[in-house]
Amino acid sequence: MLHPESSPLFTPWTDPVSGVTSYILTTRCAPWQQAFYFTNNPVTTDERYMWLYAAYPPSPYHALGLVDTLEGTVRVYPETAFEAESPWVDPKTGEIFWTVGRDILRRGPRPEDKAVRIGRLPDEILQGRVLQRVVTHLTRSADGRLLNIDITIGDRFMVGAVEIETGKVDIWFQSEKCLRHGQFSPTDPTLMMFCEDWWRDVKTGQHHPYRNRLWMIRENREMWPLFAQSERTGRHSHEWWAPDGKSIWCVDYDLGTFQYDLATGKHEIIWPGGTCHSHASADGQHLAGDIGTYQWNQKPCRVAYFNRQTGKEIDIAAALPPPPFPANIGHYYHAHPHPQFVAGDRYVAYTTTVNGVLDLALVPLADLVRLTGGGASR
Amino acid sequence: MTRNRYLHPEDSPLFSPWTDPRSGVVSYILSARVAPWQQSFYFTNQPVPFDGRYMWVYASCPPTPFHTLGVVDFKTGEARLVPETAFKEASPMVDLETGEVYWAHPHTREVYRRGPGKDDPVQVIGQVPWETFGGRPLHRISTHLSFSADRKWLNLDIEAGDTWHAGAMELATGKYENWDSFDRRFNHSLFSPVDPDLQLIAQDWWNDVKTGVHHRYVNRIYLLRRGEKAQPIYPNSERGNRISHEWWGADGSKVWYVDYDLGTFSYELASGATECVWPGGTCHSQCDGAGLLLTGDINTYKGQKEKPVRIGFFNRHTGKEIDVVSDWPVPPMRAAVSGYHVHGHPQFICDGEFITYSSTVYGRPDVALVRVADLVKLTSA
Repeated sequence: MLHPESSPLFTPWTDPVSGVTSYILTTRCAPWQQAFYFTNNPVTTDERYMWLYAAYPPSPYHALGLVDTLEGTVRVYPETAFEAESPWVDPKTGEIFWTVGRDILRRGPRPEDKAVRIGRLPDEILQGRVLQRVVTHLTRSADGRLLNIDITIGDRFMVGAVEIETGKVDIWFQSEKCLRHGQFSPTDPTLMMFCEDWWRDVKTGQHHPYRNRLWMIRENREMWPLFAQSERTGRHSHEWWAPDGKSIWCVDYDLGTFQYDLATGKHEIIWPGGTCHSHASADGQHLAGDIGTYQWNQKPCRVAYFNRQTGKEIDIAAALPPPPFPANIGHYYHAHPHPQFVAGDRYVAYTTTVNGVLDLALVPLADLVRLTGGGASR
Repeated sequence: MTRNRYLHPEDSPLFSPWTDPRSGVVSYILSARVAPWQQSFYFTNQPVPFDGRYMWVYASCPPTPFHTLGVVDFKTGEARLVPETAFKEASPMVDLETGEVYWAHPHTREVYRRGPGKDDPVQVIGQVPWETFGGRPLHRISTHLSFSADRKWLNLDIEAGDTWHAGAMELATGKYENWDSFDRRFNHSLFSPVDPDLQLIAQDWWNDVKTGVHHRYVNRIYLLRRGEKAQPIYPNSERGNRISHEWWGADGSKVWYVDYDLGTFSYELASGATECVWPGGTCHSQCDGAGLLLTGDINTYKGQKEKPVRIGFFNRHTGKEIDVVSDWPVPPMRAAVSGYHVHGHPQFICDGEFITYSSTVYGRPDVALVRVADLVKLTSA
C-alpha cells in the first residue's frame, strides 16, 4: 500500500504559500528521480510498486527506478534506459514496457527478472534512415493485445501498433507531418488517439508548427480529426483519455483544460486555470496541472489542484524553482512537473524542484479536497 | 622507459589470466566488474594514465544500448561505475598526466571533464553553439576527443542533419572554433601530437538522414590545418575507399592507417613516403611509440564466415607475428550489439608496456591486457 505519510522513504515538504504538504521520495536510487509523464500511470493496482524515471546528470538518459512499498526499497535497473516517455506499467503485474533504439522491451519488477525484447522495428521500415523515436509513450490496447507506436524515421512519421505476443509491427498511417502522443483507447481495442506535433526538418533544422492537434484512428485505418482545423487547434496540447473511454481531455494553452465527448462532439472548458499539463481523477471531478511551465525560465512554475465541485483552486507548489542544471538547457530530461492522479486517485504524483534536484513527490488528494472546501474525497 | 607504478596485472586480484590455446600467449582479463559488459577504449585513445594508477573502461548494461564509463583504481583496488558519464561514439579521452577523463554527448551538445575520484564533480568544458547546427538534429559532436599539442584545445567533428563540421573547442573558455565544413561525412578527427594547428580527419560512409540512401567514402584521409581547407593526403589514390582506421605516430611525423586489402601503412607527412609495414594488419591496427611493434584485430568485419577473427602482434624487428587471441569469438547477435562497437581495438598503453584490447572469450565483452615484453620474447626466437 502506498502511504508516503508514514513511510521513511518519503520526507514531507510544505508549500510556504498554500500550506499544502507534499511527500518527497528522498530515498534515492539515482541523483535525479522524476514522476512518469502524466499519461502513463506508474503505480500498480495493488500499490506495491511505483516506477520512476532515474537520471544521472549530465548523462542525458533516463533509466527506470522502482519503489517497492512492501519491502521498503528503492532501486534502479540500469538495463532499462529508455527514450522519450515510453515506459508503461502493467497495473496488475507491475511489469514495465519501454522502448530504446529500435527495440520494444519488457521487464518484471523483481531484481531477478530479466529484460525481454518484445519486438524490433524491421529493416523494411527503417530503410537505413535515422530513427529518432519508436514511441512517445506506450499504451496497451483494451484487449491487451497491442502496444501503440508513433515512429519518427528520417522525414517520415508513422502511427501503428506492435503485437505483444509476436512482435509484429503494423503501420496504420504515415505522414510527412509529425505524429506523436499516440494512446490506445482504454475501452476500444481498435481505437487510438494520436496528435500532430511540431517538428524540425532533419536536414535543415527548419521548424514546422502543428495546425490541428487531435486525431483518432482505427485499426482499419479509418481516421478523423476531433476538430476542424482552426486558430484554436494549433493551441491544443497535452491530451489524455478519460478512463471510461468516452471523452478526451486536453489543454488549450490560452483557454484552459477542456473535455471532449466522443459521442456528441461536445466540448467544455472545465478548468480555465489549467493551461499547460493537466490531469484529472477518474471521475473527472478533481484536476491537477502544472502552469507556466513553458515560461519557467522567466518566472517560477506552479503545480495546482482544482476542485470542480467547489470551483476552488489551490497551489500544491506555488513557485517551483527552475530545473537545475543541466535540465535547464534542454529537454533531455523533460523536467516538467507533469502531475497525475495515482493509486486510485488517492494521490497526485509530480516532479518537484524544491530541493535543487529533480524529485518525485506525492500529495494526498484528501488534503487538497479539504483545503478547497469540498467533501470527502475518494 | 615506462612510468607505470601501479598496473601489474600478473599480481593483481582484479585480473584473471587467460591463455590462448594455440599461441600460448597469456592475457590478463579484468575480472573486477562495474557493469555486465566492459570494453577497452577505441584504439586512438589511451585509457590508462602514464603512472598506471587508473584504468577507465567503457561500461554497458545491455539491453541499454549506451555506454557509460567505469574506472578501476589500482592503488586502492576499487572499481566503480561512473553513471553520469554516458557518452556517444568513442569520445572519451583520458588526460594521461592526471587520469581525468573528457567525453562528449551530442544530445546535450556538451563536452565534459571529470576526475577519477569517487566524488570528483563533472565540469562542463563547453557547448556547441546554436549557429553551428541551427536546430538540426546533432548526431555527433566528437568521434574521439584529443588534445592539441599545446593542450589548449579539443578536436570536435560534428554531424548535424546533413552537414558536417570540424573544429576545436578551447579548454579555457569553451569557445568552439569551426575550421571547415563539409557536405559529406567527415569524422575520426585527431589532433597532431606535435602541431597544435593541425588535425587528421577522415571521410566516412553515411546514410542520407531522410531517404536512407547509402553513400560510400571515396578518399579517406585528410589533413586539416587551422585557417585552411582540409586537404587529402592522397589526392588521386585508387585506394581511397579501402583505407581506414588511421592514427598519428607518436612523433607526429607520420600518419598510420590500414588498407583493408593490403595491410597496415605509414605515411610520412614531410616526404609523402608510404610504406606497407604489416601486411597482416588489415582492420584496426596500432603501433608503439617507436613504430616498431604493431598490434591489430584482423578479419573483424568478416566474422567467422570466412576466417576466425584474431588479435595479432607483429614484431617489426624480426618480421614475426603471433596471435594474442587466435580465435576471438564474434559477439552474438551482431545487429543487437552494433551499438556497442564490440571490436578488439588493441592498442599500446603505459609507454608500450602493455597492449589492451576487448576480449570476448568469456561470451561477453571484457577488458584484457597482455604484456608486450612477453610478445617480444615469443617473436624473437
